[in-house]
Amino acid sequence: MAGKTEQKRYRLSLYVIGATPHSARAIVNLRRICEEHAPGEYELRVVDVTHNPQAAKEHQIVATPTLIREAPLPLQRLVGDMSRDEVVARRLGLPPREGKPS
Amino acid sequence: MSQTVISADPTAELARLREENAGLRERMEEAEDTLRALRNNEIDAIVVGESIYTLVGANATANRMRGEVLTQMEDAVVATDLEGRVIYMNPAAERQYGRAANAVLGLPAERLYTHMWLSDDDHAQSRAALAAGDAWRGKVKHRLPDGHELQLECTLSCMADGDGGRTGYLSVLRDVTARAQAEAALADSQQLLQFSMESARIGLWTMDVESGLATGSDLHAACFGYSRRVGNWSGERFLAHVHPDDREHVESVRRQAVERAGDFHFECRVVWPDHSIHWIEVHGNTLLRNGEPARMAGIVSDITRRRQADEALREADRQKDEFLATLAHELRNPLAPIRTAAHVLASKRLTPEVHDKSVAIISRQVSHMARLLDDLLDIARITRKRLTLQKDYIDLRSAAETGIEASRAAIEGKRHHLVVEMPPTPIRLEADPVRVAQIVSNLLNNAAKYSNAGATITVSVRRTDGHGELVVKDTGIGMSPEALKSVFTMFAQEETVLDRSEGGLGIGLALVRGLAELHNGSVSAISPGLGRGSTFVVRFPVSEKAAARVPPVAEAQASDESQPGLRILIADDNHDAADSMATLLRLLGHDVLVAGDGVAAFEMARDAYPQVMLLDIGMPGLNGYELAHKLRQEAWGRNVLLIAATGWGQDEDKARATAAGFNAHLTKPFNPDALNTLIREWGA
Repeated sequence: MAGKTEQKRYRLSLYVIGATPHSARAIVNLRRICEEHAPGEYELRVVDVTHNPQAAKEHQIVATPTLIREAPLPLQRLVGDMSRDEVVARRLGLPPREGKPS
Repeated sequence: MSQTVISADPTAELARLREENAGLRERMEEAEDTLRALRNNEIDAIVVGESIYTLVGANATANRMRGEVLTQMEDAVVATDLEGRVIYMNPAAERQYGRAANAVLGLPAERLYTHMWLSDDDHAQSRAALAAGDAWRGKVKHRLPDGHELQLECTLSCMADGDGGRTGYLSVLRDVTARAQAEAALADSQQLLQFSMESARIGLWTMDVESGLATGSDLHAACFGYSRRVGNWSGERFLAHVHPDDREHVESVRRQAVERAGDFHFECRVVWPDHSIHWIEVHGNTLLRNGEPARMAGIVSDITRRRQADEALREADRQKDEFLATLAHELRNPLAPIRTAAHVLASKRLTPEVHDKSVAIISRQVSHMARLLDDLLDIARITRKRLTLQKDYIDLRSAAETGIEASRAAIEGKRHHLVVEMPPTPIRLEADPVRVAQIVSNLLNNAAKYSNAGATITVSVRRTDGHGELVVKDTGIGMSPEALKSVFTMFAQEETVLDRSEGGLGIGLALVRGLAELHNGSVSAISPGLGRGSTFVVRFPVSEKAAARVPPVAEAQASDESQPGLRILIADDNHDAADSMATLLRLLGHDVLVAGDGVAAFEMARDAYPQVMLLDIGMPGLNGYELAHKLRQEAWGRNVLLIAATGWGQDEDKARATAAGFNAHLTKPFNPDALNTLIREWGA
């Protein structure tokens, strides 16, 4: 099912292996951070490595969950369950939360 | 960190070093991040090339298989974490909710749908099941953000991690909206069918062919005289209810249906527990199992009323045929004596006695025929509700006297003894005197006809509680209780005693009832049985306010019989009718002219100025209506007494005659006295 074709400012791909507790946590945390820092300005793609080993190789994924920021360049890579909000936001270069300067 | 290379351009070199440093720091941070994640148990797998090494409970191969199963599933699968955020949805769920997983993962499930329990019980049971680690299965509804609603069959279970800790919920959701709609439509149509069956009073039944055990609906039971369905119904019990004379037929139909494994239909009589007999109609079919007749099923309805109606229709048809035969016979009967009398009158050796006798025969037979036809026309008008009463304020006594006079010949012809009992004071009615007399006369003719010669017939007029009562009692052949029931029905005649020589069409009493009812009255018949006489009672409502207006009957009759000679013109294309009437009128002292058609009549009238014109209506060239209209245009024609003579005495004919300018109307064959009366009244 195709998402919106419109290019968002932040393009993120989260590489996971199936619906494990870790990937579930990573998905939920990442979605929360994005909604808080850049609502409407991001596009999130969840890639299951077990179904897409080729994509994993291409993006040099060494561990899951791994998040790759594809845009804006340069590529940024984060590993883990995305539970440290401030670190994730900073590494992705997301704007500060509204009403709460970082 | 020591400086090893100095660039020619220190500024550019510094920038390059800074960039390199940032890149290194970035990669270091990534490496540190990975290590930290690893240390903190945030990583569940290490990927080397295309190999995946899982670090925690999840086994990559098993995971992949599970994933493929979920992907292939037709049912939507949605997983949420404990807070209700979507952590997984399969392609079927993407299709079902119209959203891509990537757009929804991590978001609250409400973005996909609003979950609605069908009942509070369901909600409570699901919570209990999940708390116990079980799955809950049931129907739920999901409302999509666009307002669309889905009916779902839902299986809800808990997800746990490797240590048994609860991590979220898994929903498998099968869209049964189409099925639910089909089920609702089916329920609707079943309800409609049920309603139709009940309205049409159709019962349902099924029967196992081998055991004969059967079931039936309430309406099925009603066909056999039970108020609700009967337990232990069977083919055998059914057959026990079938009328013994119909059992063989029903059995053979059933046998053939089993042999042919086809549908069947029969009608038969059944005997109810109260011993009454009813008709039923059965339609059924044989249902096969493995090619062998296994079950019979069908419908049954009570057709007793239809059967009775059929029977009544057949009876009415039979009576109609009989009536037509009687009618032909009755109309032909008088012709023989008339023809004979005409031959006698033509004889050269005619004596005055034979002449008078022949004339009397013709006159009597013609009156008889005219009366038959009048009765027939009257009953036809009553049936078609076309008979109108000429109501006046009358005394029942005098109307009865008139009726008695009219029947005197029939009574005296059989030497019956007539007793008349009249009250001393008038009984006032608002009624048509001619029709009341007709009622009396018809009852007396009936009494005279069905009594052996020399019997006593009593006519009583009396007053009872607001009614004028007319009683005609005879000592004749009487009636059986069966005959009493249909005595006032048209064409009913007591067959066993039907005396053809007495004649009659069997419509006299039907006419009495019709006329009585037109007067808001009633008629009843009593007979102790065959051979023990009959009594007929007619009741009319009394009209007290009319008291003052009853004219003294006697005086109207007192008038001079003699008339001065008038010039009368008769126009009729039937020469015999015109000539015979002319002869009669000349005998009465009138000056009579005869014209054979309308045109001749007009010319003759213009020359001769007749005072009275008697015009046939159906004439060639200029018909009676046209001639009357034309005559009234002329100065000399305005004061002529115009009388229409037609074969049809319908009310609309009379109205049309009046409209054309006629003063009066006579229905052929008319009594010469009626013409005399008209002329006399016109002269006065």
